[in-house]
Amino acid sequence: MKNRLWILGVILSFVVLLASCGGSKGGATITTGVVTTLAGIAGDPGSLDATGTAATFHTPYGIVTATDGTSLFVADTGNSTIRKIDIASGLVSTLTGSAGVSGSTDGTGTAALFRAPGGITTDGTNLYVADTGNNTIRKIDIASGLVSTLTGSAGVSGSTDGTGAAATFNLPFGIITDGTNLYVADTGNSVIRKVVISTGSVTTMTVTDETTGTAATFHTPYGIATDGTSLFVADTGNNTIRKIDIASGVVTTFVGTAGVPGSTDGTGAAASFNHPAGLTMDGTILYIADTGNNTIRKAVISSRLVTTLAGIAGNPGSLDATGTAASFARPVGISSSGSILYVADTLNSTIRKIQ
Amino acid sequence: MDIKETTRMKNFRLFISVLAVPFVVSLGLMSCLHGGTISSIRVTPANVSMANGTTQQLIATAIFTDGTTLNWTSAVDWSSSDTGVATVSNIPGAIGNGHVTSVAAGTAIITATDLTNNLSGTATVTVNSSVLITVTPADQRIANGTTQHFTAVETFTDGTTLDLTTLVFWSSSDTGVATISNASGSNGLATSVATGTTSITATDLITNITGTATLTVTP
Repeated sequence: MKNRLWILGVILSFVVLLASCGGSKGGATITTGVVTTLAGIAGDPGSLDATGTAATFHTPYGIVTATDGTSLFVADTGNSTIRKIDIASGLVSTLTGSAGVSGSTDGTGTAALFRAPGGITTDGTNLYVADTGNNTIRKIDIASGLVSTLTGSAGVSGSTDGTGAAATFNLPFGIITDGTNLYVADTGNSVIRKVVISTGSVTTMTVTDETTGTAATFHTPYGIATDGTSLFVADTGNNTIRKIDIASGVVTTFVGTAGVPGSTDGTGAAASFNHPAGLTMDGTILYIADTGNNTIRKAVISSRLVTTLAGIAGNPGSLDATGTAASFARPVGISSSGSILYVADTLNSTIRKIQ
Repeated sequence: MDIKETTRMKNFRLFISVLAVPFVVSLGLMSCLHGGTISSIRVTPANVSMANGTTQQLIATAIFTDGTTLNWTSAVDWSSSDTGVATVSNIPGAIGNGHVTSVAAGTAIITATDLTNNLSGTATVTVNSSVLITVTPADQRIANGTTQHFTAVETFTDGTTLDLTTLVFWSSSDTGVATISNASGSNGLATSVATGTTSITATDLITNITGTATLTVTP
């Protein structure tokens, strides 16, 4: 018996050693998963502008890194505002919107109003916001803070294609741009919409399931990301990540299996998710906010291998630590700056940093 | 039967000798080596603010008369002043002793007591709900053979509202009384099946926050 225990001890020591060796391999991609809180106070929703963990957020769903990498913009959903975080100093300010005042008014700074905005993206000059509660897509000139409505009609829910206010949406959450177009996860309609930025013209993407050859369907998709040629969609209700070839509209299931929730790491259909809602990519890796599991997953684009970068499934919390020792609470928004991931840790009302 | 009993006894003795005895001995040794007696128990963090739906690990530290400290988390008895606000685990394990789970918005005092000397330390846990889901109508009676449409509105604590009727997952606690649709175009539409009462629940897929309503089907 003693001998057996010794053998077990030796094996365990090796496992721990191997695990720590694997964890220490740093590189350009995010491998170690050191999680810290950049801004906000866990479990203390508010709208305070201040530095780092003195500032407060209210159930933020969306986050995007500025193209120059110096700041973050947050769709602070519960406050109906757009917040800005200076990455170097951690200073949080309100770019536009008025905390606690919902509306659809266009204008500058606090004069402009939003209603539970859920998604945000940028082309460097402008921010584009999926103004979820208003069923509109808003445009914010970053330099001046001027907010305008690009398309959709506030207070009108629908799925009509058209230009500007003639087009309608149903609770749009995810939004991404390739510089020319916006792609919107029109969550309530379970479709992907394409918006031409220059004209405000909206069309519903015609998508074909690669396997069946018939029209592809989604189930409550929240998140969307692009590498320019493909769109990746967090098909939240199906517990999968789908891939759309933009040119042909052919849809494949990239990772996960529809109707099979779980937290298993693996390749392609063998991996499982629990209501994944957020996506971002850095060219070779797709990072997934696996919302229902309270984890951050990564999927290698070339091999479809899914691993868990940080958090532990079934343990919602706000602990800053490394990898599976850290915890999140229903994270939705995720954005990559290349070497660092930023996460809108939604239910904690904080912004987390992973490197 | 006798053989089974003997095996159980052996297993129990093995458990005692391998796990429990060294554990108790080491606790005793630790208290001897570290300044003799415990003067106080400290719980950290002393003040916790957490979102409903999350958990938080608390740490109990024994402070000895000579000032030395030891992690006492697994040696104390954990309790909550209000288990309707937050519960705390006394079960050893990775997510075990001192692990607080939120239940609903409110404040609870979590106490860690060293049962050998009755010394205790406390932490104040405040659970905040940032989002509520309201299902309307809240209490509805319908005649058997008819239908009722429910809506689910998410309210952030600052007053912002979001109609999530088409996004939430609808369920009925008794599908023998009424079923409820999750199909596109008829989300939240309840159809009566037989007389009785059922609870209608809307769950936000993202936050996992729920709202409920009561539906009574009359003859």
